[in-house]
Amino acid sequence: MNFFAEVLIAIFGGSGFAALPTDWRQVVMIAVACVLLYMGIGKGFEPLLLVPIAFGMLLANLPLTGLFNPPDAASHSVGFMWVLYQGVQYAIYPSIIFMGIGAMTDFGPLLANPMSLLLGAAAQLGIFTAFLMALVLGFTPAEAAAIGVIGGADGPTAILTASKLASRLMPAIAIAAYSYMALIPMIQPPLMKALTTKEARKVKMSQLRVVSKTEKIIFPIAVTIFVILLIPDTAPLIGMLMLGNLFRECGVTERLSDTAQNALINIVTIPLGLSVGFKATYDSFLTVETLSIIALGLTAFLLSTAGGLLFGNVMYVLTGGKVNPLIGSAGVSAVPMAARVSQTVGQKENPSNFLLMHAMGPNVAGVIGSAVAAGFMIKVFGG
Amino acid sequence: MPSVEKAILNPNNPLSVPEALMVAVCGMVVVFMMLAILAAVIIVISKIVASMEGSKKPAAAPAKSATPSTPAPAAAPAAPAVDEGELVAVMMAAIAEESGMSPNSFRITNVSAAPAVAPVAAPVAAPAPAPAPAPVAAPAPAAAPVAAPAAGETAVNSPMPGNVFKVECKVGQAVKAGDVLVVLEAMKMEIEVSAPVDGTVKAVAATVGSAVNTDDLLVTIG
Repeated sequence: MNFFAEVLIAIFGGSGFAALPTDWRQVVMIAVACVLLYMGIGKGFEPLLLVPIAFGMLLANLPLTGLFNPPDAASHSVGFMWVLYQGVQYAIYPSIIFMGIGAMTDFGPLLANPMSLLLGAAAQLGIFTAFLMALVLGFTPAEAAAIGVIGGADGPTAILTASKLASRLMPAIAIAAYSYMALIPMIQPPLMKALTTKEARKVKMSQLRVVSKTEKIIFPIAVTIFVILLIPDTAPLIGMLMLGNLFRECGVTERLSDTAQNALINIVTIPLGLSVGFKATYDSFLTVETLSIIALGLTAFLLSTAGGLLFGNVMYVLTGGKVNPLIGSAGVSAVPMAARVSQTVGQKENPSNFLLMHAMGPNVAGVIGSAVAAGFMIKVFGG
Repeated sequence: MPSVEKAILNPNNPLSVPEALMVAVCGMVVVFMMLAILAAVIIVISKIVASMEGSKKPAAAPAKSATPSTPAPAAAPAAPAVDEGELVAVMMAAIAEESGMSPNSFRITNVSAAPAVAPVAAPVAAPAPAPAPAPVAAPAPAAAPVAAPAAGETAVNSPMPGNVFKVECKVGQAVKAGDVLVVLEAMKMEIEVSAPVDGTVKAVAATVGSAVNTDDLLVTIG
């Protein structure tokens, strides 16, 4: 009987229930994880990302699991999540996801209208203004840079920059970036209406020229050579983006293209989401910093949209009214959500106005633009 | 964690105001410069490719510029849906040519003989006609631009590449300007194509599920 009591005490004493009351914040984080799971499953709010992230968060805040233990030579053991996290730590997952995005993306509209690259550049305005604001709020320069990149509206890029410059803040940055991407259809339209004239919104753009197969094949190779020679730090992102696109366009690697844009991107999304969620432990996530990151992310996002729209207006004036400024807001790199918003707002103004393909140009330019901006930040602050 | 040795500015020490502004402005300039360079690279590539393709097959080049939506002959069997719209166009043009009418006179005749147009479109959609492969590639470039005005009717063309998601009109149906004719699906988004003018639907070239390219005929309104 004594033995039985001892076993029970040992099991209960070593269980998480005994460790839980040490910090109330752990309980709060478990509740937050459950709410996020509900948002993903019940409300369908970016479930493919939110479910793994929220579950990672849940696992991270259960005590005594040892999931994040670094390799221990003496006992030949290592935490499972520690292993998965290396893919984030060394920027493996974001790069592979970029390969999938490259395989999904048709750069044709960009090739047909290279000037839309400038719109993609203008829409990175939010990255640098949010960087300044984050400095004012007291973040270190490296952290401020990582927070600013949320304004690029590109999840993988934001995660990569954060893992290099401010891994402490990565979960908050990733969650902010992905939430605002999901909220694009609500965030952008009011700003689009405020910053463009009714007349300009009605502009119908002339049809894009047809881009030849040869151009589409040469494009990813040329971009890889030029961009990576100029900013070597963008190599993992731009290199994989362009490899994926080459798979898509070259015509002889259909199976690789199919794998990259479907199976592989899904396979990588699971450990990426889990790892990001797993970094959201109570001591790092339940802070005022998280709130200010979420606020700064929204500001960065709005300013990027505004930057694209303002430059769209400049192009509208310079071309004598041939460019619809609404495609400027698609310069934020959330592909293809931002382009869809341009289409919807444009068609509301004029039912025979079809901006989707025109907006895809700045949209994919935005992906390259935010990768360049992130490369710049990493270069300056030594990530 | 950022390494201080690799960094241009110390990532941990607070920046002075001019330094911070300089980083932001420099960053914006770098992004603009990079993408401007990329735009220049793209323009150069497209010029080179255009000149290469132009010298390789000079006969094909002018045809290509005339109707950008024309698929290469090799691609034709793979994309039967794309052909349908064209076949209609080709046939309409053939009618015009055979009867030896100028586009203007044809317009008047065609409107009065409107029912004749619909049967033309219908059989085309069902069996892929045998004589298609060889002649299609040749006459299509010349014919397609002619078709729309020659008919004296309004051709509603696809504004972008995509798939036909729904066809919301029938031959013979009266439509008003702004009525939805066809719903396209592109980028996982439904896009409504509406009637530009009042009239009657003369022919529906779009079939649900088929892929269309920019400028492919969807519906003809008379």
